[in-house]
Amino acid sequence: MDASDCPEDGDAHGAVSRWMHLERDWKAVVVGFAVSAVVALDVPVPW
Amino acid sequence: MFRFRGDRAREEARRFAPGLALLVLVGGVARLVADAVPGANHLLLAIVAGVVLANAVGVPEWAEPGVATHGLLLGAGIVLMGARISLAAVVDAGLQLLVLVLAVVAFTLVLTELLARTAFGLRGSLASLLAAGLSICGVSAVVAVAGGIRAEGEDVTYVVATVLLVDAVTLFLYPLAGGLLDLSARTFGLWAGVSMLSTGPVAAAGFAYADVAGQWAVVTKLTRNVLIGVVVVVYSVCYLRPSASDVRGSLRQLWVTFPKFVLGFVAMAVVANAGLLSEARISHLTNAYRWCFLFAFAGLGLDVRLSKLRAAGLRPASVAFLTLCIASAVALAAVTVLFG
Repeated sequence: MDASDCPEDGDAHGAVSRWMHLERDWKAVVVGFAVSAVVALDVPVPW
Repeated sequence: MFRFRGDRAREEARRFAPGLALLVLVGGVARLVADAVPGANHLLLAIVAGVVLANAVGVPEWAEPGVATHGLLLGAGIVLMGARISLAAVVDAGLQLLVLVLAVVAFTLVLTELLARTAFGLRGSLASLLAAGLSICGVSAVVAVAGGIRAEGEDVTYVVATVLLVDAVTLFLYPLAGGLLDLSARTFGLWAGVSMLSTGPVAAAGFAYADVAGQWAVVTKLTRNVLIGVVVVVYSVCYLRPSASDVRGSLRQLWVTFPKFVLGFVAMAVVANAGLLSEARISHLTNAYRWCFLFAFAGLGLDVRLSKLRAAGLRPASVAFLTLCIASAVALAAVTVLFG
C-alpha cells in the first residue's frame, strides 16, 4: 500500500509532495520567509 | 506495505542531507581559511574550493541532490537580503536604474547579434541564443529563448558552455578591475549587475568587493532578470511569426520565465522598510543571507565542470568575450554618467 492510500499519512505525504513539485523560485520565497519567521520569533540561532 | 506519517519527509531529508552537509563543509572551510589568510575572500574561496573538488575528485552521486540546492539557497539569500535594502535608495535611483538596465541590455543584445552574424558568420539561432545569454541573465535566458525560437540542442550546449566560461572568468576579473579602477562600492555593484551574466556570479563578485556593492549588484541584476520574459516573447514573435493563440502562449511565457523570488525580495524589503523588523532582527537576517550565499557559492563551484567549459567552441566564445569587453566598457561609462 502506498502512502497516498493511507489516510493517516495523507497530509504529511501531500505536503512533501507539494513541496517537491513547487517551482524553485517559490521554494526560495518560502525558505526566505521561514527564516525570517524564525528570526521574528526570537529563536536563538548561532549565526 | 504501510508507510507512516513523515516517512516521505524523512526519505527526502536523507536524500538531500549529504549534499547540504558538503556545501556547509566547503563553505565552512573557505570561511576558516579566509579568516586566517589576510586579504582572502571567503566567497571566492568557496567557489574555487568547489571547482577544485568537483574537477579533481568529483561530486559523489549521493551528494548530488543536496549540492543541486545551491540555486534555491541563492534565491532564499536574495529574498532575505530584501530586509537590508533601503527602498528609499532604490526608488531614488529607480528611473536611472531602469534607463541603465534597458540601455545596456538593448545595446548588448544588438551588438551580439551584429557581431555574431556578420563578423563571425554564426547562424541565426546560435547568434540569438548568445545575444540572450549575454544581455539578460546567462543560462536561464538561453534555455528560455531556446524554447521560444525552437533552437537546436547543439546550439544550446555551445551557448550554455560559453556563458559558464564567461561567468568563471568575470567572477574573478571584475573585483580585480574594480579595485584597479578604484570604483566606489555602488558604482561597482551597478556595473557588475548590469554587465556580468548569471545571478550567482554577479552576487559573488559584488559581495566579494563590498557588502554595499553586493546589494546594488543584486538589485540591478534582478531588474535585468525581469526583462527575460520580454526578450523571450520578442524572439518568439520574430522567429516563429506566431498566430494569435501563439501570441497568447508567448504572453504566458512572460509569467513562466519571470523570476518569482524577485516578488519575495520586494515583499521582504517592504516588510523591513515598513519598520516591522527591528534593527537587531535585520542584523540576524543579514547574517542569514550571508550564510545562504556562502553555501550557495560553494554549490556553484561544485557545479562547474571544466570539461563542459571546453565545449564552448572558439567562435561563440570569441563573440562572447569581444561583446563583453565592449558592453562592459559602455556599461561602466553609462553607470558613471547616470550615477556619477
